[in-house]
Amino acid sequence: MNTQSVFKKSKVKSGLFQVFCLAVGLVLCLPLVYAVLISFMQETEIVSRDLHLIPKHWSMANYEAVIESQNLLRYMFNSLVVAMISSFSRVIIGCLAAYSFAFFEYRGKHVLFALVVGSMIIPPEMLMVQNYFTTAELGLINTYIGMTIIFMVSAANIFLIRQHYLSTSRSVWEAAKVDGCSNWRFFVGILMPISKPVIATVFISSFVTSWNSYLWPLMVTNVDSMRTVQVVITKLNASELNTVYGQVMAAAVLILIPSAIVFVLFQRKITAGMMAGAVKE
Amino acid sequence: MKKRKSLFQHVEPYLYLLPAFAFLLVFVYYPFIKNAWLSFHTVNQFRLVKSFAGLKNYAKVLGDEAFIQSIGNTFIYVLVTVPASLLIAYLLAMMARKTRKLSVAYEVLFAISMAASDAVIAMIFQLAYNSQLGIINKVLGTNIDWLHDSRYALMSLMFIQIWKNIGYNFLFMLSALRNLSDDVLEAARLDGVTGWKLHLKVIIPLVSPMLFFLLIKDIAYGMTVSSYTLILTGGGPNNATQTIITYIYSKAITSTNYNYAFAATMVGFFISAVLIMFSMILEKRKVHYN
Amino acid sequence: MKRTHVTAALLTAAMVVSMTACGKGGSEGSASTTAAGGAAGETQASAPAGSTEVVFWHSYGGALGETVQEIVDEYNEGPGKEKNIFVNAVYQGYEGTDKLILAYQTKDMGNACDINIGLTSTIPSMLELDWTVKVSDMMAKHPDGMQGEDFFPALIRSVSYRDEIIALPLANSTLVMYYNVDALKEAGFTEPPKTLDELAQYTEKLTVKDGSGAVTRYGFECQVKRYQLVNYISSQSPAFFFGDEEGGRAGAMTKLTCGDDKSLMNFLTEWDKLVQQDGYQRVEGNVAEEFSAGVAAIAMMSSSKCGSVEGLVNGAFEWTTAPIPKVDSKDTGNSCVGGSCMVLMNRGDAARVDAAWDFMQHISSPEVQSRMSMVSGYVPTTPAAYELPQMKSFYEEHPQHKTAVEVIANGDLLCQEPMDLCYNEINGSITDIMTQFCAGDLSVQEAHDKIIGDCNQLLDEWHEAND
Repeated sequence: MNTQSVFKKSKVKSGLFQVFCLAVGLVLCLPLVYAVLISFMQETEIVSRDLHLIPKHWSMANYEAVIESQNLLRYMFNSLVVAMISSFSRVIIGCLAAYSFAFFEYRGKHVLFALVVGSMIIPPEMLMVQNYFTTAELGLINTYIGMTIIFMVSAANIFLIRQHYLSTSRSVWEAAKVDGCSNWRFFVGILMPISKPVIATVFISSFVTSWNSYLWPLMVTNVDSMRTVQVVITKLNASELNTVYGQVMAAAVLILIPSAIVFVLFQRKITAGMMAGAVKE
Repeated sequence: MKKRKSLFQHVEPYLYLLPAFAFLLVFVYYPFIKNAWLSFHTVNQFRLVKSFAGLKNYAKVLGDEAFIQSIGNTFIYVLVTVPASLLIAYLLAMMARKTRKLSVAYEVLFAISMAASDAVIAMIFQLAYNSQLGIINKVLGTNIDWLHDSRYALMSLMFIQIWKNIGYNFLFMLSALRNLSDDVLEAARLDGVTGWKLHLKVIIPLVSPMLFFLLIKDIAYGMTVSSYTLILTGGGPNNATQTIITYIYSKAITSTNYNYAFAATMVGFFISAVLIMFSMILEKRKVHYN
Repeated sequence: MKRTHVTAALLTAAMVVSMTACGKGGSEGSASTTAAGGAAGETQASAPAGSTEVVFWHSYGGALGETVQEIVDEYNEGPGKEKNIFVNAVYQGYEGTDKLILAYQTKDMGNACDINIGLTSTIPSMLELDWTVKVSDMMAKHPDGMQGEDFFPALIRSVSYRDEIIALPLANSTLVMYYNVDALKEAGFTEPPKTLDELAQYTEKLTVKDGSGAVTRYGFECQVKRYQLVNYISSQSPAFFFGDEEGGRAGAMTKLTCGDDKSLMNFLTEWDKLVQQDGYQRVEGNVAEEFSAGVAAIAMMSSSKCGSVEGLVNGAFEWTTAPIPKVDSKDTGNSCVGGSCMVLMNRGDAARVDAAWDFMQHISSPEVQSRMSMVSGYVPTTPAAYELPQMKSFYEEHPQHKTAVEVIANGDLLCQEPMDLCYNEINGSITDIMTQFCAGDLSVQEAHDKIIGDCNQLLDEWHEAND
């Protein structure tokens, strides 16, 4: 059925094209491949001046050193909690706000929306010290809530969901209105279910962003048991002594794995879901 | 026959906004307004107000060569990285639009850069860019100090930023392109629209809501991003890679000189706001919601 | 349909995990808030009931970080247990001092620390916090414990302000010259260069170029930033300071004095000879890695890199260290003491302060100091540690480590890093100007005037905002 696309040709061509895509993909991933290869090298090999990419001896020493010296499991758990709290919060709060912006007409809507978009251009680093004061006043230093509190809402997500609602769901809304569906029932019963693809997108990007966040969680935690995984990188990269690239890369690879898994799992949902949504309409 | 709206109906849309604005107010607008207020004062290293300063801080910051240079660099940074990563992501998304047997594999490869943290990416490129030990010079046979030579430093950082943005932009673009029905494209083809015209006249308008989102997001992000510069060059050499936000960071966080930092934040915000406003005008004219 | 179920299930599962975890976080949080102000017990570490907990914030990662953790664990098992003291070591990166200031500003005693490691240049800021307990007061209170005389005098001066000992030195180093002995031999040198003039000649001879004229080995690599520059001021004479008030140590620094005593001019004039050499690598990427890979024959780095360079070179060539070459052969100063220190905090509980003081003395004990020194490249803080047999044999096997400790033990105690109040901005300014100077864009006089002018302006602005 689905023959009309920009590229349509025979099976052989399709096969070749897929190989080409894979090759392009691999080129795009080169920096990460480089990191993986380095993580298996010994330090003397890394600083050698000749060109070689493949480790002479595949050594697990860097991985062992990282796992041994760092409380990695605990940090991973903390990062997971932080990422989960903020991702859910961003999805729920984001959908509610986008719902309001996309389907209702009311006074001050444009101003309010501009305020949301405007918040994207305020550099978060500049707000951190003041936000620290607020968080401390709320007694949230060294708590998961404190670590996630500035990530609970993402203006970019509200914006993205709004775009999605505007471009895909207006017709459903009009139909539901004709049927006399209440706003809240429409939101929970119809809009949320048909928006799974965009929710998955927001979820992935939120998860990845908060999994990767560093400065704020470090700032509001003073105890080792509340640290997140990104701290490991800086700990290993203690610049006063020198950088142990092998271990840094090994840690980088280990830290990348969970976010890559979430990514691969949900990414398939998005694209598959988008198609399904499009067909339904 | 219009029914009078009940009080609840009036209030309802605001209620949906309530949670979002509660957080934005407390953790974005309140600290921002406080900064704005402090920017008109002389404050000490503990952010305590010493005296009213009027526009003195603004005069100082605008008189600082390094800040002026950082504004220029920020423009270059945004004007290069935003279109480049959008264009590459668009091409990749077109390539990947149709689902094939190996789709899953290359889609992940195209998008995975968004999964890596800035700290990790910076460490990878720090080694790769090293003039003597890094892979880039070894492969190219060059002897360029990518991060410390003022001719190449900004370019090298922009390269990382483009690479990083591709993943995110690709993923979102792909979901938008996959939402297009094939009938529309077929109809366009029957009308004899092909090649770049097909993209310009048919596809891009159809995915314009997503493009618009990515444009705004990338501009905002480009204006406020700092991690690569901070980790890799610290704004050097000779401010060649200093952007507005790294300038602010170095003044506020590193040096606790808030007098420059608050004023610079306001100037940076104003510039970003103008850019975003231009994009908003673009939305009115060019973005099509179905 | 199936797909949507899977997504829903995943989301629900994730939600459950996050909610339970969230509840847990919340309860931990409330525990810590109720404890705030008193004897807090918010951490995971098992502080035995009834013992006094000492929170120790440090900035040591890597191998040194591991050693510090071991030292803490052993203390908790041994002397700590006897005295009912439990030390909780927390890595804070370089943000420890900033975070302490934040906790202070929010009066959040419960989430602060008892001991913080910070750079010695932060001492004037730390004195602004009324939680800070001066070490000289502790020494007076515990006359049987460690006293100033137990430490190297130069290190004690590095942690003193207005003649009072504010903190205890920990993890200190100085700028030293690293050189590739094999490369020097090849070029016919048996001795390291003694002056900058000689260094320029060495650089010329040590530089290797390929057929196209591109440099394949630099004779010398060193980027001049604030750290290198202040070392070169102090190396000329103990009487020369970077700024007034003895470099900010007898009072708040208000202006640079290295222009008046000509020390800056002398340095720039001699350094200019290096700038003329194309075998001088004037920007540093990863200097330790590059030196270790044989990219540069001579490099100037903190002595704390000794341990890493040793591991990286791994016997590929012979190398060692020497004091930095002098500006003039008649110079009487030496490179200055740099590094960090332990600052003691009073969080409203005298027992805790005493417990923390006990641990500070423990970490300064000869045995512990020798271990920290051997794993890193930092000098031991006390002569007693330096005299230990294991230290002696260590220096015999690793003579590279000895240069720094001799500079600090025998050097003049006035040769110190300045306390220049806005050192980060001063560093930025000096780095930029010296980059331009080393690229040949500024003359000696221009660079000189610009350094003096810019730094003085920064100091003026600092005083305007903070006095």
